[in-house]
Amino acid sequence: MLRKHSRALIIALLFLIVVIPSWGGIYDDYIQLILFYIGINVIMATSLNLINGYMGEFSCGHAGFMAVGAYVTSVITVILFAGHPNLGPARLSPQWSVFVFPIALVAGGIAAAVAGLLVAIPSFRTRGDYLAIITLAVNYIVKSAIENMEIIGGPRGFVGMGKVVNGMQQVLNIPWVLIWTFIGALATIFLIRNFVSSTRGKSVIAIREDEIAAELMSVDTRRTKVVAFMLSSGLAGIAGGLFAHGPGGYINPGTFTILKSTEAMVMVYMGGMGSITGSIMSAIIFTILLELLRPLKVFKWVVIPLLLILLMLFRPEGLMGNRELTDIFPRLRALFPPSDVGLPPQESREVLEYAPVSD
Amino acid sequence: MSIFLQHFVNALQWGSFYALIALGYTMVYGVLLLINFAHGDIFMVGAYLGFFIGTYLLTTFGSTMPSWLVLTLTLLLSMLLTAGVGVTIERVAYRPLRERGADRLYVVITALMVGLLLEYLNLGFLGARRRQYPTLLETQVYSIYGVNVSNLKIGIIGLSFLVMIGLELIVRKTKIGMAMRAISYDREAVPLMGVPVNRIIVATFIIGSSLAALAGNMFGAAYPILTYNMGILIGWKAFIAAVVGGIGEIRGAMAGGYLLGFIEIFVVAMGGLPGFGWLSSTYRDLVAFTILLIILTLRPTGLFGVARRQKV
Amino acid sequence: MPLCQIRGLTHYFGGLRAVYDFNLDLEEGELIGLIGPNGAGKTTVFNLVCGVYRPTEGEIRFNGTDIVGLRPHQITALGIARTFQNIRLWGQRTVLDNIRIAQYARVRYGLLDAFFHTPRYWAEEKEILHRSLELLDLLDLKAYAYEQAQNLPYGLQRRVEIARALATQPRLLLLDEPAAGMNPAEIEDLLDLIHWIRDQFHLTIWVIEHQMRLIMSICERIKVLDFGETIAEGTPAEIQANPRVIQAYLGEEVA
Repeated sequence: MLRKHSRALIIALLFLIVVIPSWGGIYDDYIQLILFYIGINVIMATSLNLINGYMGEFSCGHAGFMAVGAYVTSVITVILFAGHPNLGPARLSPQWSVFVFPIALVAGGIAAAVAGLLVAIPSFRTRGDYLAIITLAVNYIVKSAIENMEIIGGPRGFVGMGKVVNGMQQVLNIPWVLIWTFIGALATIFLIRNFVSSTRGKSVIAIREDEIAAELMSVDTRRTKVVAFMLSSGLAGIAGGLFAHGPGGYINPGTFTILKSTEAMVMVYMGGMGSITGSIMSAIIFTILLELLRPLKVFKWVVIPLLLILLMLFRPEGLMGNRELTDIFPRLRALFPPSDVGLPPQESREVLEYAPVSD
Repeated sequence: MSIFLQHFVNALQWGSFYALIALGYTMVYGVLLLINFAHGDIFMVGAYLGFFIGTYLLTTFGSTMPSWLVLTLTLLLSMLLTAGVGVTIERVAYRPLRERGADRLYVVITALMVGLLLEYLNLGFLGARRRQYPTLLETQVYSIYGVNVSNLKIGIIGLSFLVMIGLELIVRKTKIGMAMRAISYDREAVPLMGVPVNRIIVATFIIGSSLAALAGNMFGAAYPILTYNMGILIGWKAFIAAVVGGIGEIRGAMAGGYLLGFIEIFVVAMGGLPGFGWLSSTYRDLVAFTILLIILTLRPTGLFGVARRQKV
Repeated sequence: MPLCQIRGLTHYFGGLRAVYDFNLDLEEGELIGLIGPNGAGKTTVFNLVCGVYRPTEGEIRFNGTDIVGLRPHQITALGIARTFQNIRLWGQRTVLDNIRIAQYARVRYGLLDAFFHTPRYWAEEKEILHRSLELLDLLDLKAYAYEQAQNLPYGLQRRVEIARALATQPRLLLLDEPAAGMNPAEIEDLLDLIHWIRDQFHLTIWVIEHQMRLIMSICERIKVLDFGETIAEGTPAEIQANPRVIQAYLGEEVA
């Protein structure tokens, strides 16, 4: 009973904790901002975990895909609802943005997923260090390409998203972007958990452990890589689209550098490679930590690398290793519907029994 | 024609920077299979150390010491100290991981973090103020067939060539150089033959870091504005050069460095030609990284690298 | 018509000739051995058949289809599966997952089903689970279904590798030194297992092996390679008596 409705229950609970107090003004802007960043970081960390954790590659350009999503989503919403000096006046009344915003987010995600092909295709023949360089190059290429596009502001950045958000709030005064961020985070967790627990998606893990064996055991490794990279970069693109519509309503290419990619990597490795709950927890901890370290100003970026260096020295597997919270506290399984039919017998006895085929 | 030669000289100068830094990447990779992501920041450390030493020497002994001595001392001392920084990083951050047999990935992440640490330690302690690298050499410009060549450029290019020839000799002729090559050739057997691996690794970091420091000082002399993040982009590009040449291959790093120097200078030069006005210098980085992407997609082991077949 | 037809298979690594003019017809249900000294090119032949390398020259027809140039997973999906000289299980996965992932080519549900866990997904995953457990049961591995593959003893890992190859539903099974590192008792079991799976799964089996006792007692036909070339072919008795084979194995002096 509890298990059956647990998904609805979690969503309701999140709304109770996150959205409603923000709406009612119980949380001030600062707390809402932190919640917003937590949501974005959950998407970034969980999506990167698919590549760096489950597939065991070393992608260090995740922010590049975030940039693609941020710009594509913003250009769509701004052209339609806000207007821009280079792109002409608004085409539609800002109120319509309520409906178009999620579509624009998805469009940004799709654009980022296509950009993910820039990494996926080289990955057919290259792995490890060389692929890491390629991801990094893609990060620079995206940033550099945006800087060279004067029509969207070049290095000075792109504005107008604030008007779009205002338009949504005119229709109904609720924290729209925060709500969509949490829907996005939940959807990310849902999609990735589902994918890696399916026989099709487990091929990602088979590639990590032995790619040649995977290919020889009938796994289409190229297809798997394309799917994994596109899913991962597409979700990063959605995170970017949401990020661009955050407070300030302003983005510039300098936001999406290797430093941003490093943040995502720190979260993945801190949480544990191949652990979704690990990524979620570390996204929350990391975001709060960044805020707590704010008084240190520049030295924040001394403390964070130092933390990760110590982590690598003393607990390289991260908080969770490749286990999930449910592996450590099996009782939690009662709360969640199983994602995999083939769990160890004590957890799902009913599916393990099978009738021997009669000869 | 003279324009062409002018660009040629500029390309040689930039190529020298890239090649010297790329050597550090490639040597560490050859010996440790580690992409030392902190290496670009070692270049920055070298430039800053040169700045401090040079400024100190000039202000304290400037009137009594001949300028060639100041220059030499600055170069040597900054190279020595930077080598110390490189070895310390290896000792404190990389070696413990290696001795525990940690996954290579963790070492790479650590390297990336060490780079960030160096940048922000600099920013934190020295502030965002830009530093002016001291003038250690009075610039003189010679005009040869309409090509303007300064003594600085000649010095940079000449010294780089000398250092690289020296490095070739070290690697080919000395015991330690041969051990380096042996390790990159067969990682398992060499330690069994009684080669002191840790000593070889330390030597590699000393050479790599001091070459980066040399490049940092040269860069400071040519473009005297120093910033905390000056090593990032040039470091990445040098890394591209190393990869393009086939990482682990010493000659590849040199060739890759000069190749990248030429490509970049000519992209900028093309912008001056009629019809290519759109190709502004801001496209330089874009072109460099796109070339990397294309080369790695077509030839995953770089231009000089040899594919190692995985045994099935 | 033979199940698998290999004609003039030749492969060079750079300038090194690894396999030269290899010909073989594999009839349905046969059990064939491939032997030869170290470095004779036996595993290379397997790699060529499986598509790991593309042959420099030659033709491989499997079940009427030309498979040269296909990617390894396509060849496996057509019905050729193999094990490896050095065990290559996905060590950190459970035995059950090893078996399930090997059924990748038979997954019919689409990506969206995998993303959203549709009823179609559940139905098919249950089917895959059922088949996997059935296979593990047949091979006496069911008790280890939830063990990490790398934690099993060596002999069992070999068995899991055979099970994983069977999970792809092959018609031709290539075994690359299945007895390597086994003690005599384990080899006895392996002999029985190989015979039994051939009959149970109606397979054609092709074995590379150094263990003469194993190869002589199970193979109906044996091919001998030396320096990439076929030096002998025949029944175990013929091979044992062939002077060229003895020479290749023991060196010049004997001849």
